[in-house]
Amino acid sequence: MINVANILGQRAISLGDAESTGKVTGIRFEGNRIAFVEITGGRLIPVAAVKTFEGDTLTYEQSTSPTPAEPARAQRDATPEEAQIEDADTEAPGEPSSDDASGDEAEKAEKAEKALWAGDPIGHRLLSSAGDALGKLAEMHVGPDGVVVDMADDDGHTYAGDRLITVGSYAAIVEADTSD
Amino acid sequence: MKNALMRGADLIGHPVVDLRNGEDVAEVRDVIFDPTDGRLSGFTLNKRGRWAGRLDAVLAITGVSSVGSGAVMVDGFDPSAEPAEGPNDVEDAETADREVVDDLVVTESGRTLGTVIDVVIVGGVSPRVVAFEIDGGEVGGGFIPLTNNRGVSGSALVVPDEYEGRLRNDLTGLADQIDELGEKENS
Repeated sequence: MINVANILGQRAISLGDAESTGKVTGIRFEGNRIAFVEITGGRLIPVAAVKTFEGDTLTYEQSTSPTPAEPARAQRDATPEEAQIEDADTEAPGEPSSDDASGDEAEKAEKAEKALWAGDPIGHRLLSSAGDALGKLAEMHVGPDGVVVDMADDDGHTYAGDRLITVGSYAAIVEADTSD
Repeated sequence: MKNALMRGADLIGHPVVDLRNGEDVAEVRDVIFDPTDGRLSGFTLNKRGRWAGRLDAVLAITGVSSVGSGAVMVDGFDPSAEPAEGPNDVEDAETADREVVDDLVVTESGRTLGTVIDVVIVGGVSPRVVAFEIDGGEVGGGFIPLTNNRGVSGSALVVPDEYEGRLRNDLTGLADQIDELGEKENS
C-alpha cells in the first residue's frame, strides 16, 4: 500500500530501454482505481503498463506507453465531452472566426481539458454523492494494482477506498454514508 | 444524517457537479419552486469559470441526484442541451410570477410579521423549500415554517395567527419545529 502523494514526483523509467522518461506529474482515476499515470510532457501511462505502485520509481512497459497525442484518442470512445474534443480537432482550417467562435473554441478546449483531467488528488475538494462538502482530500492509499484502499480528509475522517466514485477536475466524490 | 437546511441565497452560485466525472458543469443562478407547497421545480443556471454567463438550459429537479452543502449533484446532465428538453413545469414555473421575496407576511388576523427576505431549503435527494426567512416586522427577524394551508400571492403571504409564536431566529430551532410539524401532519 502506498500513499499517492509518494507516487507523484517519482522518476518514471521505461523498462524496454531503461530510459528515464520524466517524473510522475498526475494521476487519472476511473472509479476507485488509477487508470493512467501522467508523466512529464502530459504523457499518460496506462495502469496496465505499470509494474507496481509500491516502488520509489515508477517502472512501466514502454510498448504500451502512448505518445503525448495518443492518450486523448485512446480515451475517446463516445462520451459527449469526447465528441466535443473531436469537433474542435476537425474544424476546417482558415474558417472565419468571430469573437463568439473563438470563445466557443476556448470553452471547448477548457471542457476537453476537464474531461481528461489528470492531476494530484491530494488537496482536492472532497464531496459526498449527496453534495455535501467533506473538506479536502488529505491522504489516499492505493494497493500495488492501483486500486484505492482508503482515503482521509483534512479533518482526519477516513473513507474506505471502495466509496470513491470519481476524481474529477472539480472534486473527488465519495459515496454518501449516513454516518458521515 | 439529517439533510442540511440552507438559505436560498446560499444556493446561488452553488456548483452543479456531475457524479460521473467530478466536473463542475454549471452553477446555480436561481431556484425555481412552487411557494404553495415548497416543491422545487429546478434551477436556472450560469456557466462556470472564465466563460461565465447565463446558460439557456434549466436543470429540472428530476435531473438532480441530491442537493448538499457543497454542490448540486447531477448524473450525466448536459448543460449545452437545448432548453426545450427541460420539462414544461420548470419553464412554466420560471415564467410565472412565483417570486415571494419582498412579499409581506401577514397573519390571518391582519398582523404584519415582516417581509420575506429569503427561502430556506432542506437538501438531500428530495430538496424542497420548508420555510421563509422574514424581517422588518414588529416581531423581529426570523424563520417561519411553510405548511400547505396558507394563502400566497405575488405580494403577500398569509399565515395562521399561531405562526407569530412559531417565529424562530435560528436554523436549529427551525429544524426542530419542522420535524414537529411534519410529525403532526403525518399523524
